[in-house]
Amino acid sequence: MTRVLTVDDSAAMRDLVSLTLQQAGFEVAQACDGVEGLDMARDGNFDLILADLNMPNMNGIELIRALRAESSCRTTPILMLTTESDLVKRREGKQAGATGWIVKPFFPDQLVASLHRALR
Amino acid sequence: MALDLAQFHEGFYEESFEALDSMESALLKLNVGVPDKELIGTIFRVAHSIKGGSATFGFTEIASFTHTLETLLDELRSGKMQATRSVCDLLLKSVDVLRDMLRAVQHKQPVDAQQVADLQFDLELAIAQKQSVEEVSAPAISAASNSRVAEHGERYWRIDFKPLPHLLAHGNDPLRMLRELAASGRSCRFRSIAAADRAGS
Repeated sequence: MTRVLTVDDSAAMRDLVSLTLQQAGFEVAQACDGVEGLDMARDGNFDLILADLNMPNMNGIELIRALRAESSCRTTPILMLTTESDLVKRREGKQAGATGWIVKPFFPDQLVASLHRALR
Repeated sequence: MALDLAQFHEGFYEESFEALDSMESALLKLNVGVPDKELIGTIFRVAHSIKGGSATFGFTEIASFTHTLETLLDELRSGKMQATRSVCDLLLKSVDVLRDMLRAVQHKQPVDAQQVADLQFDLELAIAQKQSVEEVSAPAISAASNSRVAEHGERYWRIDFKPLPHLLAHGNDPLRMLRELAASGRSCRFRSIAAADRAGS
């Protein structure tokens, strides 16, 4: 089963993402900020990581940079899932190593399709 | 794929109320002048998080209000705007209004739309006034060139407004701005630039 890590400081958002992905057949783990996300991703052997942008302790861009520095996560698809749609931020995310950018609010089918595309 | 979003609402209310408490604490520590980066970062993150959650869970009025609030906070965060006493007061009022809005939707009551619209207008005005301060310090070319005199001698202003494609997606309502202009007591005429362009081509 495809394993996904969702990193978001909103528990309600994490629950929504988890349920959406579980219904689509994914196995999902949750982290509440970048620091916890990094810890879990290091040895969690995840197939894909979904990360929010604005989080306390370590934001999404910092998390991507830290993940890309880890040999175990160098090629793992990382999708940003955020309310932020600013082009400068998107470029920053891309440069940090993000695979894709999904803007909240999202449609469940659209989220699942984006994950399948990134996993191809 | 069908998901009942109502199952996530209680979680959203709970974390939003907690986030507003931390936003209020940070606001009370905010000094007038250039805002402390860490404090304004915390305050911005709360507004951003509530905006994302409310848009996702279908609370469009809260999403629209927090979008305006977030715009002002972004100006403060990027150092383009100073935290004056009146701006700090507006931000504290925003916390109260957001709590009221959350309580209303939680108890399936209507949101006090007038209270929200009034404060949202004040926030928009604070952002606009910041821009006019910049214009005052810069050469007043745009002001002079946009102020015109009609044939019958009355001075008038031409305001060109070109909304970006994502305007509506961010909860903005251009008709509201036009209504505010129309309600200013001055006579207003609106003309579609696109239509004018077509007519001229």
